[in-house]
Amino acid sequence: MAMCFAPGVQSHPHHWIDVFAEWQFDTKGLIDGVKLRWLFDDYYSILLVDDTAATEEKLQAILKRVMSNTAKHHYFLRIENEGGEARFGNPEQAKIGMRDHRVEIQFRLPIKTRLDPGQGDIVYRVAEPTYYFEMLHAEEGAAIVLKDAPNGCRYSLEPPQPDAALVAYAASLGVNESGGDELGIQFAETVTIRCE
Amino acid sequence: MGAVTFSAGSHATVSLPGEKVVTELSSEQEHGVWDQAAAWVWTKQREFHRTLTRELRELRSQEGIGWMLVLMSFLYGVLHAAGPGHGKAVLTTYLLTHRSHMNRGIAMGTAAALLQGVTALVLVYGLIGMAGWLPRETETASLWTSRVSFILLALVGLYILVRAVGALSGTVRRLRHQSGHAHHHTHDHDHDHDHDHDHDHDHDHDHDHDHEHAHDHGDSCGCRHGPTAAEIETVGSRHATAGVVLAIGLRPCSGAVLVLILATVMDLMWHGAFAVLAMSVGTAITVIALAVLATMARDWASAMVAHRSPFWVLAGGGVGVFGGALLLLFGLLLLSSSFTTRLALAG
Repeated sequence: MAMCFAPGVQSHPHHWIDVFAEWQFDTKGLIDGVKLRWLFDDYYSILLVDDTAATEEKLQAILKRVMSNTAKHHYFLRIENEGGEARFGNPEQAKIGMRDHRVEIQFRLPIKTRLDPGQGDIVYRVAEPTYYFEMLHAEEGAAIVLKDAPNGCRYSLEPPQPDAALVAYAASLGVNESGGDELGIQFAETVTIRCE
Repeated sequence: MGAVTFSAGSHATVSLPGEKVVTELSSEQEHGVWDQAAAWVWTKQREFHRTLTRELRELRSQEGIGWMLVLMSFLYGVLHAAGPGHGKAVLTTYLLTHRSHMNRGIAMGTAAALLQGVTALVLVYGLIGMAGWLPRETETASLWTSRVSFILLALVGLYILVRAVGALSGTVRRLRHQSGHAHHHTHDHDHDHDHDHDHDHDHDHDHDHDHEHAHDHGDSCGCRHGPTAAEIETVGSRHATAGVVLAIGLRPCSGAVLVLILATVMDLMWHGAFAVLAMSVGTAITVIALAVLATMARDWASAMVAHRSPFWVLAGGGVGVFGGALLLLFGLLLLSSSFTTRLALAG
């Protein structure tokens, strides 16, 4: 991609994904899964599927690729619980479609060992590792939902606070350069779920 | 992980749209001014990309002139041009190393900024709208015009470099000659050398006048290069001017390409064109400001050189050598890295 007078635009991130997360509680008040929805930016969507030319067949091929790619990166989700990292089962109900001309991918991730937000904070971050995509919870609509959660459950979202040097570094990376797989997480929002 | 604040909602599953708890930046660390500035420009740019996308999306669903889009595009143009980049590097180096009027810098900046908008329009509307290309192919096309711009960047760099090296060696020769003049014994030797050199160009020189004309002769040879060289200079300079404008203008702005591709797909062609025009005007303003500064700096520097201080003459040549070499390197680097660019898919 090209730019005006600044190489800055060629920098990371190049595109963005609006993230929606629905945390699913079981009857005991434990989290047994999360339904994630990724809404890609308009421009990327156009580049990806050429908008009107988006056929079902083409979309399914994209979905398959994205799911197998992201499997290697725990589906861009990291959950900390009592010092450990939560493990996921295979994604279920993966779907792809166009929403308002934007590519939307959604799937449910079962969580292997159920999480108990009553016992300690559940802290999670969503990030595409290389920061090619910026992933933030959507500003419009309910981006974070605690479904069937017991009373007293809350979440809070802390915006990313990368320092200027890191931002400048990311901005210096070209389309084809990578700052490593730990770059994205440093630009991630931190969400804490707690039940009292 | 800083302070964690909890949402005020009474029921857990009720989360307000866009509910985000903004914690105060508690640990404001010290950073380099450069990092701060780069981070700020980049953050703004990113916000503009989002804003432009959102404005277009809203225009799609409702009728309107879209003044907000035009205003945002204009501001984007102003800001975008303020970031560090090859366009400004080449224009600044050129203006610093070439004696030129203020008007010329302004004209070059304006032409380059407008050409950039036109390039984007031709690429996107021409290829997608008229030739039926796919949006992603437009990116490939813009990559090619960018490559041409990189080659021009390298060529302008080379031209400035060669020119500065020529001027520097001339200055060094003249300085050596001057110091030689003080020692009368070495004078003859120097003179013979210069004389041979000049003989090709200038047949008017009398061989009889050796001694009296020695100093002037050397000066003209080393420093001013005679009228023939000046003519060559003008032609080269004209080419370089075009090179500078094209090097900048052939590189379409990513914001412009983004807006135009979105506008094409969203059936907002006129809105897109006006937005890009506003962007170019914004860019032109920033670039003109830069051109004026560079020309003023150059005038100030040449006033110093006018005092014939050897240090300033050498420093002036140094700027040309350094700047030219940098542009050459920059152009080649950008060119080589452009060949590894591809479209990436998530993950």
